Amino acid sequence: MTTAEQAAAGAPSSPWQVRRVNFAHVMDFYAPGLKRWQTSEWAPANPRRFLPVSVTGSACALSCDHCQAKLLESMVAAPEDQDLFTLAARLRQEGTEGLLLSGGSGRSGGVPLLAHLRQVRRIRDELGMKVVVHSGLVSPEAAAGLAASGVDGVMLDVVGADETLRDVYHLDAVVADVDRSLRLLSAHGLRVIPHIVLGLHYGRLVGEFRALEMVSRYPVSTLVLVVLMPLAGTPMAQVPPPPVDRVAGFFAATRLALPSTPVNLGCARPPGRAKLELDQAAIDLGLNGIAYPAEGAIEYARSRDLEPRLFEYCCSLTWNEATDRRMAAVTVAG
Amino acid sequence: MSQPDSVMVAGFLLALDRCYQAETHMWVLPKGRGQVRIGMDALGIETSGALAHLSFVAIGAQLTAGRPFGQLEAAKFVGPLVSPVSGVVLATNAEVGMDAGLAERDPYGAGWLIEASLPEAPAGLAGLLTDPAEITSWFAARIARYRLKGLIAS
Repeated sequence: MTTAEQAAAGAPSSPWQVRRVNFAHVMDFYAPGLKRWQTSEWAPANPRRFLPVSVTGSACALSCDHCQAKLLESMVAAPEDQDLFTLAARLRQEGTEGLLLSGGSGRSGGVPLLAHLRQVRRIRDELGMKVVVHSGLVSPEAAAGLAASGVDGVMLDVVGADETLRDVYHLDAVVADVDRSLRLLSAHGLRVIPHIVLGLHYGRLVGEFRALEMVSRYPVSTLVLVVLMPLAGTPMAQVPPPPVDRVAGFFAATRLALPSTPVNLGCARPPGRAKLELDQAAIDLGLNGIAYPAEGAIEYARSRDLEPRLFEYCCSLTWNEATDRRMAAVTVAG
Repeated sequence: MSQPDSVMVAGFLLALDRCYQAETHMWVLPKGRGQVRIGMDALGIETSGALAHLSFVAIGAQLTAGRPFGQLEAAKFVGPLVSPVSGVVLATNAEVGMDAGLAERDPYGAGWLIEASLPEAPAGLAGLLTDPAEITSWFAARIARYRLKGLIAS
């Protein structure tokens, strides 16, 4: 049905209307422990509630142009002389309730998680922690290993342009390989949380709409959108991030393409004025959640008649089945 | 023997010609006539990670000790810049506003953040660390603490 036909049939046609029809009138805000963070609206009570762990320390074989392993610096490094369960147990004692297993990529574009996955079930069962992972591209064996491990969710950057995989990620891979990873993870019944990085190709939107089309063909749990945040000391340090209006246009397209799938604005986006403008656009255009909201974003949600809900964990953890009550209960007071 | 203007403490540069607020890692450099320059020390910047953006209140705004005078966005920290003194903002460093990395490269010089007038100087510096020996001891203890907590590399 075309947009005009939908309007004629009385179906919601604007991103805001789509959101109002398909979701409760709430706006979710997230503050995982990826960094120390606070605004005048919200200072997390337990900044260590959800922490990222790098299974490769500071090492990454790809050294992508937008990151050059700098994003690994703020993660907890998994010690080489200690298994993951021992590390998780220590973090649990210090108040951590969930982990993001991440790390640098190997040459094939996958994060080398397999050696650690056998610890995941113990971490979940014995410590009661949530475990989500950054998989990178997956092989059939890796997908099967993830499924057998019992991870709570799998995050995957979905890139929709061969030139971005080649030039930015330095990968000998094509979009079909990304699509195959989505298919393998979905086929194993894993909870898939794809991420699309807007402006990843040196600030330009190149494969993002194709990535959205790919994502829309799979039963994803939540789609997370992030925006290129040029990092000092990388080849992209001086690259202008994509203009706010282009990003806002993508928000609108996403809401319309995935009318009933939770869509969150994730951790990474440019700082300063642009961040507030992006957050307001995310609210106006019907996204469901925002990580590390800009100063004033929570009040802005209220002004749009959306009840803010605050969560001290990753915006990928959006499900709320009966079995997941404990994690859902970490809502903190505003 | 005269006191050096700066020393290296466990790999971090520390200027000794100014005062420090122990919790926020803000330094305060008296400029005479009740005016001061304010910035963040090298250790405070290191624990914040790569700086992405710095913003400040407007010139003429009232400063209150313990209250924000701006916002810092960095790889490991996003939050308020907390004023070590009470007074009025006289100037903000436009260069560091355009290039936050300047505060990393030259935290005690070109990377200053704001200038202010303190109506109650020198009483306005009360509560700050002023003695070089005390400052050096505090700084060394902080480095050890942050390394233990994993906030900075060992």
